[in-house]
Amino acid sequence: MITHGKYSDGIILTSFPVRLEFTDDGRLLVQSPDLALSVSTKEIRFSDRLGNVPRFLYLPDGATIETRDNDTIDAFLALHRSAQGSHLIHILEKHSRIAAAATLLFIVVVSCTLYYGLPWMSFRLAQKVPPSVEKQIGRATLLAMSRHFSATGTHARDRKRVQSQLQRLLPDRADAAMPRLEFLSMPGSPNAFALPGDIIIVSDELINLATDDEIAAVLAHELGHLEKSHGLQSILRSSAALLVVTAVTGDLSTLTNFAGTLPFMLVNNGYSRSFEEEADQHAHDLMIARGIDLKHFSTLMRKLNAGQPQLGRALSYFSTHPATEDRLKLFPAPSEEREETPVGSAEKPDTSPLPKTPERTPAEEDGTFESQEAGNAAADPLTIELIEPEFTYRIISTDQKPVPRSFFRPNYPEDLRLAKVEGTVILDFIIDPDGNVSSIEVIRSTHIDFTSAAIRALEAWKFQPGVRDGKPVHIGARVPIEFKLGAQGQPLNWNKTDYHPPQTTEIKSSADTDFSTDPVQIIQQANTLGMPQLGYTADAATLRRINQQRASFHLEKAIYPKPIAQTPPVYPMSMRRANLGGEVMVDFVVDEEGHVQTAYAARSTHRGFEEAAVEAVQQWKFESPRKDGIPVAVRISVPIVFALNDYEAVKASLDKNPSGTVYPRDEPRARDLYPMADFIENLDIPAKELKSDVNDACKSDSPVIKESGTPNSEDGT
Amino acid sequence: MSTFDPVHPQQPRAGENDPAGPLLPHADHSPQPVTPAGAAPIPPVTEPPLLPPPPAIPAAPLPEPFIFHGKAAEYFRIWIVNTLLTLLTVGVFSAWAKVRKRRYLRGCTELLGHRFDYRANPRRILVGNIIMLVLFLGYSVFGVVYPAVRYSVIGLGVVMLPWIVVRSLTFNANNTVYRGMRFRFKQSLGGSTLVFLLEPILIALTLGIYYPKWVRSKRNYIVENHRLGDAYFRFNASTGPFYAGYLLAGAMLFGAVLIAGIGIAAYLAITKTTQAPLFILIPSMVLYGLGIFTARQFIYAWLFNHIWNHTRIDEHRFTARLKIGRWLGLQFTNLGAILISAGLLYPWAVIRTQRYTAASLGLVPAGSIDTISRFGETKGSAVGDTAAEFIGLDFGL
Repeated sequence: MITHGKYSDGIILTSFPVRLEFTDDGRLLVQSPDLALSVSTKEIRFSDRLGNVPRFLYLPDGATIETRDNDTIDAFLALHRSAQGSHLIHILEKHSRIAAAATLLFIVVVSCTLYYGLPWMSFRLAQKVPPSVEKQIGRATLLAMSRHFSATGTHARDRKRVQSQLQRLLPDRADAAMPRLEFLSMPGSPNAFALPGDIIIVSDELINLATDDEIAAVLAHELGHLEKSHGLQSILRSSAALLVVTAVTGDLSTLTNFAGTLPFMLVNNGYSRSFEEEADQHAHDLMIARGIDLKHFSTLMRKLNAGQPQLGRALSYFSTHPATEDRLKLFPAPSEEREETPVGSAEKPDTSPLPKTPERTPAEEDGTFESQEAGNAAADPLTIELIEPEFTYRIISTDQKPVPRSFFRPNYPEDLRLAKVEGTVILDFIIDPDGNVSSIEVIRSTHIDFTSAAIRALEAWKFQPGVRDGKPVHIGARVPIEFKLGAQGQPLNWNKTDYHPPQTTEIKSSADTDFSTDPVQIIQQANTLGMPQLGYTADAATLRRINQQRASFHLEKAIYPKPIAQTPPVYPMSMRRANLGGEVMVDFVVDEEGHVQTAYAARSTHRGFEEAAVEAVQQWKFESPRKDGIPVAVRISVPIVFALNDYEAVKASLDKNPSGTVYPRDEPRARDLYPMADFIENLDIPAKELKSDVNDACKSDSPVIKESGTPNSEDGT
Repeated sequence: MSTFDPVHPQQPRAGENDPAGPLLPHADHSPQPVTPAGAAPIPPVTEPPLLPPPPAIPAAPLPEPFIFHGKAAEYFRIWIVNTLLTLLTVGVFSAWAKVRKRRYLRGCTELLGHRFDYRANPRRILVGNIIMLVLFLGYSVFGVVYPAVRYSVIGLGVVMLPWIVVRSLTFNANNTVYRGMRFRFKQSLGGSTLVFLLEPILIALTLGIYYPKWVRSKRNYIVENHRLGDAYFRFNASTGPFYAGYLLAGAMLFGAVLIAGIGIAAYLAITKTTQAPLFILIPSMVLYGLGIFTARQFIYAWLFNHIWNHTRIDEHRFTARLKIGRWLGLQFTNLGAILISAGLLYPWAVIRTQRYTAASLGLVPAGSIDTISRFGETKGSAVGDTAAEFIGLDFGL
C-alpha cells in the first residue's frame, strides 16, 4: 500500500513531503529525496481515526508523519492490527443514522436520569443518611443563616403562638421528638424554611402577617419538607444534577457561562418545584387530619403574593416554586367569607376611610374574618359558632364611640376543648386613633391557654375609632371573651346571653399607647388600663385583691406546687434611674422535680423589667408538683411587680406574709408581692367554685373591676 | 533578508497592496525604512529616521491564515456519541470524550499546511477528573455536613491555585503538537503565585480598578511562558486598550440597565403603581441578560484582537481581525440556536465559532518558521518527554 504524507522529525519544525509504503513484511518505507527510512510497523503508533482529521503516525524516534489518507491507514490497520475500542467509537461516529439514534437515546437517557434516576437515588440515599449527620447539616445551615439574618425581634408570646400551632399539628409527638423551631428576622421576606435535622425556621415577618391557622398551614407545609427529607435530597440532587450537566456540556468551566448555568438552573428549580408540591400535598393531608380549614393555606398564599409580581404558569419553569394558581388547586379558596362585612355598622355606615397601618391591612382583609352567615356551619363540630358581641360603650364626652368593624374569633384551644374546659378571659385594651387594638391587658383569665387565644384574636380586631372634637382619639375598652362549648362539645363563642357590657374609658388623645417616662402620665395610663401601679396610687390591700383577680386560675389547687425558694428580682438600674415602676407577667413551667423551665415574659408594662423578672423566676425552686401523688409538670404564670416609691405600701402588703422579705428603703428591690403559696392557701375555694366565681365575675359588676377600672377614668375627660 | 516559507507563497489580497512580493523587512530590526524591492532607489535621506519594527500597515507582509476545516455534521456525530457514552458509563468515558472532541477541533485547524495535534492521554485526564470529583463532593456534600471541610476545600483551592494553573497550562501546552513538536509551558510557580494569588488581592484593594490591568498581566504571564521549541512567545500589548475595552463593556451593561430601569420607572410613574407587571418586568430582565451577554462577547472580541495583535512567537507576529459586529451576530445566533434546540445545536455553534476565530487569526512569519527547533534536546529524549504528567488537570484556561 502506497500513500503520501508529511514528515517532521520532531527536532526542527521543518517538514517535507514523503512517500509512504507499507510492505508485506510489516515495514513502513518512508522515502523522500533527502530521506529513506524503514521502520517496523509494530513500533509505530497510529493516531485513532476521528472523522476526517488527518492521521498522525508516531515513529519510535519521535518523528511524526501526518497524512490525510485515512482510508489507506485504516485498510492497513484492518489487516495488521486487531480492532480497538477507538475504532468502534469511530464507527458509531461515522453514520448519521447512528447519530440520530444516539440523539434520541441521549434525550431519553438525560430525561430519565433527571426525572427518575436522580430523584430515586437521592431519595434512597437520603434515607440512609444517619440522623446525627442530618442534625449536623441542620446546625451548619442554621449557623450560616443566622449570620445573614439578625436575631428574632418577635415577642416571646408570638413565638409561643407558633410553638402551640406546632403542637396542634403534632399532638402525639413527644416533646423531645418535636421539630425545633427557630426564629429569624428577615426584613421584607415573610417566609419559613425546613432544614435537615428537624429544624423549622420561621421569619418574624411571617408571624406578623399570618393568623394562627395560617401559621399552622405553613408549619404543615414545612413538616412535609421534613418528613420527606427534602433538605438532604436537594443537596444530593443538585450535586448530581451539576455533574450530569457538566458531563453533557463539557467541563466545569462551562458552568460560568450562560449555556452551562441555564440548564442547571432549570433542572434544579424543577426539583425544587416537585419538593414544594410534595410538601403542599403533605400540608393538605395534615390539615385535613387535624381539622384545620384548608382555606387558611390559600388566604396566606394570597397575603404573601399580594403586591408581588406573579410569574404565571408559563414562566413557572424558571421558578423554584410552582405557580400559585396550581398550588391553590389543592386548597380551596374561601369565596363568600372573603367579603368583609363591617360588624355592627348597621346604623353607622362605615363611610370615613380610616388611616390604616399597611402591615395590618392584608391581615384584616384576608384573615379569618367570619360574618354571621358563617354561623350556619354549626353542624361541623369544628366550626365555631360566632355571635357578635355587642360593644355598648359608656363614653364620657365623645362625639362618637368606637365601633367594631371586624373581629377574629378566638381559637378554642384544642386541649381544653377535648377536656371540655370552658372559661372566660377579660381583656382591657386601647383602641388607637387608627382603629387598631393595642396595649392589651389581661384583667383575668381562667386558663393561660384561653388567655393567649383571646389575646391573639383581639390583636387582629379592627375598630372605627372613637371621635372627640372631630378627631379620632385613644379609647380604652374592656371585653370579656367567653369560651363555651355546645352540647356536642363544639365550641360556642360569645353567646349573647353571657355578654357583659364592657367598661370603657377614654385616654387623653395626646397619650401615646407606649408608656412614656413621665411618671405622672404613667399613673394616668396605668389607671385607665386598669393596671395597678404599685407605689403610686393604690394601697396595698387594693393591689392584693386586684392581683388575686388577675392571677391565672388555670391550675387545680391540688397540684399547685409550694415554693421553696423565691429569689426576688433585681431592680433594673435604668428603670430605677427613670423612676419607673411596673409589672411583668412571667409564664413558666415547673417540672416534675420542682425546677423552673422555659420561663418567659408573657407581657409587661415595660420591656426593661422583663429580663430581671425572668432571671429571678428562673432561680425559683418549688416542691415537686403532684397530682394524685404522682409528680407532674405544671404551667404557672406569676405577676412580678416592681415598686419603687411607695415603700410603705409594699411593706404593708407583706405584713401578712411571713416568708416575704422587706428590703431597706435605701436599697430598693423588687420582689414578688404575692407568693403563690400564700395566695392559693388564702383563697380557700374549691377548684370548681373558683371557675364559677370567675364566670360570675364576668357577668356581674365585681368590685374589683370597678376599683381597677374607675379610679382615674375621669382623668381623660 | 529572508523569504517566506517557499511551500506557501502568499496570495495577494484585496485591499492590500504589496509590490514587494517575497521580500520582507529586515528581521534584525534595522532602522531602515521599508522600501519596495526592485523600485528605484530613493535618494538617501541624510539621517535615516528611527522606525519601529515592521508596523501593521498594508505594506507589511501578508499573514498566513489559520484555516478551520471542521464540519458541523461531523462534529455533531462525534459530540453526541461521546456525550452519550459519557452518560452511559456514569462519566468514566468523559476523559476519552474530551480528548476526542479536542483532537477533532485541533486536528481541523491548519496553519501553513499542517494540522495541530492533541495527544493527551485520557487516563491522566481521568485521574484529574477523579481528583476534581472528590474535591467537588467534599465541597458540596461533605461541606454541607461539616463546614470545616468546605472551608478547607476552598482554602486548599486558593492555596493550590497557582500550582493548579501551572499544571493545567503545562498539560495543555505539552499535549498540543504542531509538526511533531510539542508546545511547552515554562513552569514558574513564582509568577503564577503573583498573578493568581497576590494580584487579585490588589484588585480587591483598588475596588476593581486594577482588574483590566490584571487581565493583561494574566495574559502576559500565560503568553510569555509558552514556548515552541526554541521559539519564545512574547507579549507586548499595552494596558490602555484593556481599560478602554472594559469601560466600553461596562457602559453597555450600564446602558442596558439604564434603559430597563427607565422603562420600569416610566411605567410606574405613568400608572402610579408601585409594582411593575410582568409584561414590563420580563422584557427588562431579558434586556438586562442580553446586556450582560453583549458586554461579555464584546470584551472577548475586543481583547482577542488586542491580545493577538501583540503576541509574537519570536519575531513572527500574529494578527487578529475579529469584527466585533460580526462576532456579536455569531454569538447571538449561537445563543438562540442553543436555547431553541435545548442544547442540541451546541456542536454547530462550536464549529461556527472556531471557523470564524480561525479565519480572523493569522500568523505573519518573519522569515521561515521552519528554523524553529527543539531547544537543547537530543532526538533520543523525545519519546513521551514532558507529557509524562500523571495528573491531567485541564481547566480550559
